[in-house]
Amino acid sequence: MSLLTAWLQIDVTHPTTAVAGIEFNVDTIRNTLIVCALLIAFAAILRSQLHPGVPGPLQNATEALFEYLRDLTESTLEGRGIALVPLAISLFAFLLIANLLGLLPGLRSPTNDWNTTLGLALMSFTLVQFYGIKKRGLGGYFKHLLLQPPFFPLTVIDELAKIVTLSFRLYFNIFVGELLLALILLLPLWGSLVPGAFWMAISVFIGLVQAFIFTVLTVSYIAVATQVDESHG
Amino acid sequence: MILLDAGLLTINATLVAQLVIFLVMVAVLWRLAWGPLTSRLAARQARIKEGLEAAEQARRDREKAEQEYRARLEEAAREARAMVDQATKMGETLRQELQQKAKQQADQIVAQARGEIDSERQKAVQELRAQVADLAVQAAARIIGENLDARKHQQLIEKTIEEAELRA
Repeated sequence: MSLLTAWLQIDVTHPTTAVAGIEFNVDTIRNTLIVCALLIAFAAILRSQLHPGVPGPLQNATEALFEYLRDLTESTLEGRGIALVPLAISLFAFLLIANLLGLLPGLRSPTNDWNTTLGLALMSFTLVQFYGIKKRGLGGYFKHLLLQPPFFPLTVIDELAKIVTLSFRLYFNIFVGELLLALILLLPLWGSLVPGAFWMAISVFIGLVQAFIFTVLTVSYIAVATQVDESHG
Repeated sequence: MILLDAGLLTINATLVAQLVIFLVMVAVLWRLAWGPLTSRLAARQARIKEGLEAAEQARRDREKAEQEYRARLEEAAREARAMVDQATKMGETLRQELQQKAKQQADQIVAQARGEIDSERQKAVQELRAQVADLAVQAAARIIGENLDARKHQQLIEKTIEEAELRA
C-alpha cells in the first residue's frame, strides 16, 4: 500500500451540519464539548478536594502547574496591571486536553480544525490590540503602528501574520500528528505497534509543547504591545 | 444529517461557536477551580507568612528575655559585691571601735591602779613617818633622861625627817 493510497483512505475533512443556513463542523464542536466536560469534571473534583491546610496529591500537582503558569504570566506582564492569569491558565488547560483528545480512538482533536485555532488566534489578536490601545491610547497605538515609514507595511503585516502563525502552528502540528498516527495504524498490527507507541509518545509531547507555546505567545504579544518604550512614547 | 464535508482550510460558523464555548469554559473554570485555588493559595501564603512572622517575633522575644536575664544577673552580682564591700567596711569600723574602746578601758584600769598604788604608798609613808617619830622621841628621852615638851619635840622630829628626805 503506497502512502498516497493510504492518504486517500483517511478522511481529513470535517462533517458539517447547517442550522438555519449556518454551517458547523459537527465533530469539532462535539469534541470541544467533550474537552470542556473533561475540564469541568476535573475542576469539580479538584474543588471537592480543595483543602485549606495540607493539600492532597491532586491539589498539589494542580497548584504546582497553576503557580508555574501564574508566575510566568505575571512576570511577563509585570507592572502592566493586566489580569490575564485566568485566561492564560484556562487556555493552556483547554489546548492541552484538546491536543491530546485526538490520541483516543474514534476522537479528533478540536485543534485539528483551523476554525478552532483561528478562533483562538483571533481572540489573542483582539486582546493584543485591545490592551495595546488601552495602554498607549488610540493616538499612541496608531502612531506606534502606522507612522513608521518605511516600516509601516511591515508592522501591519507583522501584526496580521501573528494570527496566521499562531493558528497554523497549532493546527498543522496537531493535524499532521494525527494524520501520521492514522497512517501508522493502517499498517498491520505487528508493524504498527512500535512506531504507533513511539508516535503516541511524541504526540503527547507535541500536544504539551504546542499548548504551552500558544499560551506563552499570547501573553508575550500582549506584553510587547503594552510595552511603552522611550522612542514611541 | 451530514450535508457537506469541510476541507482543511474551510472557515465556517464553527469558529465563532468554538470561541463562545471557550470563553464560557474560561468563566466556568475560573469560578469552579482557579478562583478557589487562588484564594486557598493566598490564604496558605498568608498563614505561612504569619507563622514566619510569629517565629521571628518569638526569636526577638527570646533574645530580649535573655538580655534582660543577663542584665538582672549582672545587677544582682553588682548588688552582692556592694553588700560584701559594705559588710567589710562595717566589720573594719567595728573592729577599730572595739580596739579603741579596749585601749581606753585598759588605760583607765592602769590609771586607776596607779592611783591606788600612790595612795597606798602615801599611806605607808605617813604610817612610817609616825612610827619613826615615836621611836625617835623615845630614843631621845632615853638619851637625855628627861621628857621634852611633847609638842615641841614632835615638830623638831618632823623637821629633821623632812631635811633627811630632802637630802635623800
